Amino acid sequence: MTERSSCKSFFKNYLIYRIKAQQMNLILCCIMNILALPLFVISQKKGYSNQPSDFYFIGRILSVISGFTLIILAVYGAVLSFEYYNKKNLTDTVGSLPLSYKQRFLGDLLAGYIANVAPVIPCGLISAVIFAGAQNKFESFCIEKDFSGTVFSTFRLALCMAFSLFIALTFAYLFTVFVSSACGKHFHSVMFSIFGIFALSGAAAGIAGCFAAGMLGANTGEYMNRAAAFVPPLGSLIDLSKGIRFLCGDFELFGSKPMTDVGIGDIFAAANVLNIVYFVILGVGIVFGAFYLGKRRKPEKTGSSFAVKPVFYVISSLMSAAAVFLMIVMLVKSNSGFGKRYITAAVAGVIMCVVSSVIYLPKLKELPRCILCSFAAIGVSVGLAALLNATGSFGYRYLPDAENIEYLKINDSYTITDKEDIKKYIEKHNEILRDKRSFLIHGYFYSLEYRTSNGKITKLSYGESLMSEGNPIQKMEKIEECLAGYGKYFFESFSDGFDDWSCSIIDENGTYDIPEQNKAELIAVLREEAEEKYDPDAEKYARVEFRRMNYGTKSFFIGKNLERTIAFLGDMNGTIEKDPNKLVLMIDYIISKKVDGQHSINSRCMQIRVRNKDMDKVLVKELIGLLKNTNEGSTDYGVVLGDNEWAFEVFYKNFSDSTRQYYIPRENSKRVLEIMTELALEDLE
Amino acid sequence: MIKFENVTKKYDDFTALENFDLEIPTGCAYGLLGTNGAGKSTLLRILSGVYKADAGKVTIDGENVYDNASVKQKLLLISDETSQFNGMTLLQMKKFYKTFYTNFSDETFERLNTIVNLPVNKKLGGFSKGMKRQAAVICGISAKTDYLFLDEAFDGLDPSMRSEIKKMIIDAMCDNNMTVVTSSHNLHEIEEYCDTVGLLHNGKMIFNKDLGDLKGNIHKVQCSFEKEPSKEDFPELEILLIEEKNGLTNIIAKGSADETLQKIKVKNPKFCDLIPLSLEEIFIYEMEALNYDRTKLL
Repeated sequence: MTERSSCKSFFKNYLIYRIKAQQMNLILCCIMNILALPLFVISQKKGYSNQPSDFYFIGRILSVISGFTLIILAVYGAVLSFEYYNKKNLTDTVGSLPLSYKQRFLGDLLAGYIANVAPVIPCGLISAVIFAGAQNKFESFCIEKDFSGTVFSTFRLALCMAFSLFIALTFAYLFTVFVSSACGKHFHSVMFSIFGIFALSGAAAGIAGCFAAGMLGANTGEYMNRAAAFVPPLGSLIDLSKGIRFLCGDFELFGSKPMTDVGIGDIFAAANVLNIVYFVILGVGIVFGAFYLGKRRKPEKTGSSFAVKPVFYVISSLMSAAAVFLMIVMLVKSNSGFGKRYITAAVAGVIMCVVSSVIYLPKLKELPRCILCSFAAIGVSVGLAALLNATGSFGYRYLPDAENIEYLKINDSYTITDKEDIKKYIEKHNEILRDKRSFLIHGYFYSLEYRTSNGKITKLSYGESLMSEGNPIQKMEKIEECLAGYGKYFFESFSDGFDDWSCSIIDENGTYDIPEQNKAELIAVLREEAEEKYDPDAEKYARVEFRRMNYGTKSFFIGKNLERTIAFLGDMNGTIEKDPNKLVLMIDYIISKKVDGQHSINSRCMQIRVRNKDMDKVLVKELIGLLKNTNEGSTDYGVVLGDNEWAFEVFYKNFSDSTRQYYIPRENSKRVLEIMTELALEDLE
Repeated sequence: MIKFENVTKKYDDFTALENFDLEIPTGCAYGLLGTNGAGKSTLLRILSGVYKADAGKVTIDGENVYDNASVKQKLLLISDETSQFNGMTLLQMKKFYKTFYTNFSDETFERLNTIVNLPVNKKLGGFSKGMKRQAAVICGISAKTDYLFLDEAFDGLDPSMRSEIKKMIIDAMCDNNMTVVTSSHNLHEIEEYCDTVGLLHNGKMIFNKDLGDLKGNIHKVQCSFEKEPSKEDFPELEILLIEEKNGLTNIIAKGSADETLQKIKVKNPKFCDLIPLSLEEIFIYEMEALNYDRTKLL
């Protein structure tokens, strides 16, 4: 009994000693968490009312940096916790202490975890409480699309960020412990942990991407994100363009819903039993793996690059495989040839093999084995990718019989029940499956859900196709538009050869081509629709959708509510004459009720200028001249009224956003609106 | 009692210890000699449970050492490197050892530190190599373990401090019946307090003897004969070396002093005198008798 008690006491003492040894890390981790969590919460905001867009961008960049810093900190903390794996003098001291291996391992594991990961929980709670407490200030600071604005929501959002960060840091830490158990130097422990983390996520995402592109012809981004989420810690970090997305929603690993549909801050989605069981099993598995490796490693290997060499071969092979798969997915996107695609991917794999070997610096006699392993991984990866791409098999080619289909749901929104229409869709869908081509990877994707009379649901998702390919999936895209309001005209295009597709409608979601013969009818439909929706009430204006139309090189503004646009602008002109101050209030009202994302009515109206080079430059220049700080605006020839009622935003010719803003002096607002009206009318002619 | 039974330890292709057997009785001060790479540090690390033997058995008081916390409680290793404590003050170092060793004596620590007079609140990183070693030794002795293993413990110490440390170790052995195993490549360092010495070479123990026996069993006699004698003239003596220099003959032979003198005097030397041998000389001659090149051993 005494011996057991003293063993426990030694363990406790050792734990305390190890935590104290990492007290600097603990302090740093707390500071970073306190700084990072608010940034994560803010970076999830979809829009701002009173802040320039630069702030939003910087917020995201900072959140990415702080997220990675925390992960690096967790990685380095894990290496420090098991420092005696890398330092010979410590190996002697620690190895001879009266502790069993189990006690030592657990002590180091827990101490490092407490110092480098655990602070995220109290810091997260503090952050959540502060956010909840500072609710009013926070809300005036930014407006969140999915954020209802209640105290509970803010609290929950912050808590979810903390929870997600906790998952990411936990796995960064555990994975590093695993890798460190196999390494013998600090440098190699850190480098190969980071490589391993990226390689794991990269390989998972790459395989999923090849699977989606090759076998399903589907939206690869969705599959890649979901696959990456299965291999923390990077998970949702993989999509860096969206910033750090430690969204709990993204952790709904086993859910059937697309990840993008899972609500922000839905802690209950993240805390579902399957997710928790999965993460617990994964975590325990890694801990056991690290325990086993640590036990297997020879202490005398401390100071050499790898104490357990197979781990190097695994990481190196993973790096090569990840490079191969990701390169193939990238090349699928660029529609390169079959041979070029696989040769380039293999070269990427070889580069990774060289990188890992240069870092490892194996002995000359080990070099053939290193090369052999990586080359085997490259060969298997290329072979698997080619197989996926070539066969398109594995049971995803089945579509139910049109006769048995109860309904077809597109993008979880539009339901078709008409048997004839369903038949046409099935024909086209089969064409896609037969085609077995690879498709683009953009986030915008289409899902087709067939429900048969026996209740069975078959749901397939597809990505945006390459327009140049003229792929049948391109036609499927139009189905959505068709059902969104202009259906029958698009639907007819299914049977044509696409030779006359020189017209397109462009909106914020992309470009939709329109057959020549449907153009006039389409405009008529749009007008009709606009008529139906017309309401002089300002709030209704804000809800109106706009469309622009390209025909050859000429651009048209053919918004569904074109007349209302004109009416609205005229109305505003009238208002200014009566009471200039009222206009401000009116626009402000519209903006605060903004429902269609980036731009207000005014900005949409002015977007015509960007596309049409034949527009009246005199008017545009005059318009610009009415603004402050107009130097850059005048060279761009594109001025768009931004989100702010007094802000203009420049859009470049390639339609990319500009962060520059131009403020309308109050005294010039009347003339600005006159010019806008004039330009719109000119366009109509 | 420390026991190595048929122990083998390999580092990849290099064999550090091969089929190694050794017994060190409790209370013994054992000196482990050998050149760099002979296997001394490996032996100590295996003995401390840092390394695991590839084959064979290592026990202390009948129990396996590796991954055995209760046995490790009885031992303390002072490694040849002390830089791991650079971030600690002497007080923190003391606290560190006190955490793990239940018998740690503050009183002994204070007493020993008054001798070496090390600053207790200064980081060890600012200490000289010798001071660091002093710090490690006083902490090691204060831990009052049954077994103390010192790996090149006297490196970097000046002669007076070396003597002080040796005295501390001897006192600790007397007070606590402590078993001390000290590795060194310098015979002088361990001569004063070790009662048994072993010589490691290429992973094998080529020599393992009680120092008293060793000193009492080998003698140098300086004598002069009419005619230069050869080894064959003394068939009763186990002669390790016989050489003539300036008309004087030096005979180094095994056996008791009286017996050796008697057997030489039978040959009627002009004079015959027993000359004291240093331990180093004893070692050299022993090794040469075993056909080892002494320059490669020490």
